[in-house]
Amino acid sequence: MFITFKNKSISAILSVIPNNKVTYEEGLKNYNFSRSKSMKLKKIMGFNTRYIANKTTTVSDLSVYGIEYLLKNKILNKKDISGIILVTQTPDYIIPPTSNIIQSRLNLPDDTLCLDINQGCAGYLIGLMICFNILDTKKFKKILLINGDVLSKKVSKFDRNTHPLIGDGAAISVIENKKNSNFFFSVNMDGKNADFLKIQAGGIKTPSSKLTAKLKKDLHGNTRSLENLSMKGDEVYLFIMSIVPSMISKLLKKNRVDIKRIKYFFFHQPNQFILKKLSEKMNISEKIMPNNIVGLFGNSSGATIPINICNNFVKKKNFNDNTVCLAGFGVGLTWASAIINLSSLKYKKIIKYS
Amino acid sequence: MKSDLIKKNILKIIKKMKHDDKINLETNLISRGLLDSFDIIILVSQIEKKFKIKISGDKINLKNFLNINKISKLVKNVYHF
Repeated sequence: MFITFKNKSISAILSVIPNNKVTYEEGLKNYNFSRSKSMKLKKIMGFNTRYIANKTTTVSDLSVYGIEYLLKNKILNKKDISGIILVTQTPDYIIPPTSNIIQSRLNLPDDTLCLDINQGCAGYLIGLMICFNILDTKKFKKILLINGDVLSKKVSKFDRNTHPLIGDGAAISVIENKKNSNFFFSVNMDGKNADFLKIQAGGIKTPSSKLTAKLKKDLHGNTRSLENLSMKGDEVYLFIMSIVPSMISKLLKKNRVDIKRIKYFFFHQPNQFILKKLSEKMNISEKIMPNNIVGLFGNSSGATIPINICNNFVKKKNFNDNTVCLAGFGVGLTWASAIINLSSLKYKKIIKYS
Repeated sequence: MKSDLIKKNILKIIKKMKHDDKINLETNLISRGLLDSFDIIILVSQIEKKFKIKISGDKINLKNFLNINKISKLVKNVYHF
C-alpha cells in the first residue's frame, strides 16, 4: 500500500538510552559456542556495545524522562502536546495503555489523545503514518511519537540468536503540521509468517506458567523459554533480503523520485551483515546507509531508526539535500518505508537515562 | 578460476572451520548439522575474502549452501557475472 502525506514535519527527535552499558564479550560465557566462533561473528555482525534497562526501568520511565528533558530545555511546550502515540512491544502493563500512564505522570490534560500501538522494527514508520493521519484532522497541534522498548527483559541470555543484538531505548519525535514537501510511504504486512519473531507465552493464548518459564535448548544449541523472544534468524534474513530492495525500488518508482535525490538511507539495523548486503544489492554506498547503531547501542526495535537519525544525520542548508529514505522491517511480519524531508528537524540529541 | 580449484578451496575452508576431515564435495552440510545460519554467515565472509568476490545477499540461503558442489556453483556464477 502506498500513501502520500502533505505538509507534515518532524521538528525534534530525542533518544533516551538506559545507563547500563554491556559489551558483547560479557555474554559469551552464556552461549553454547566456542569463543573464536563468537568473536568471528562479532566482527561480521558488528556486535559491540548495547544499553540495557535495569530490572525496574520501564518504557514509561524512559519516555517520561525524555519528555521532561524536552520541556525543561524548552524544546517543547507542555500546552502544545495534543497527543501521545506510543509504539512498543513491552508495555508497562497489559491494561491500561502505557501512553495513558505517561500522560498521567506528565500531568497532561484529559483532551490529550493517548494511543498504544504494538509494533516492532517497522514501528517508526507505522507510528509516523498514524501521527500524520491524526494531524490531518487539523485539531491537533503537536503529537509526540514515542518508540520505546525494553525487550532485553524478554530475551534469554543463553540465546545467541537474540541476546547479543537486543538493546533498550526510547525515542521521542515531535510531529506537527508544517509546510513541507510530500512524504511518501509504503507499508505491507504478512501475518502468515508471524512466527518468525515471536514470544509464545505470557499473553492470553498461552499464559505464563512454570512450564512456559522452563528453559529448553534448540537444535543449534541456543537455550530459551517460551516466555523469551524467539527468532528464526535464517527466515528473517531471507525475508529482509527479498523484500527490502524491491520495496524501496517500488516506492521510488511510484513517486518518481530519483534515487540520487536520497541523501541518507536510515534503515532499521538488526545487524551490520544485513545492512552491508542490502547496500551491496541496492548499489548504495555504506557512507549514506549507516550501519553503526547496532554496534553502538544495540537493536532497540522501533527506536533504532530515530536513534540512527540522531546519531548520523547531518542537516544541510539546501532544502532538497535533506531528503532521506527510511525503512523498517520485522515483527508481524511488517515492512514499511518512506521518503521524507528532514529540513524541519531543528533538534536531535541522544541522552542517557538516570 | 576453474571449478575444481574453487571446490578445493571451499573444501579446505570448511574442513578448517568445522575441524572435520571427513567432509567431501557431496556431504550434506545442513542435514548433518555442520552449518547453521551463523556458520553460513562466517563462511560467506571467508569465501568473499578468499575469492575477492561479493555474494549477493539474496543468494545466501540454505539451498545454496547444501553441499560444497552447490557452494562452488554459487561462487562460479559470481565470477561469471
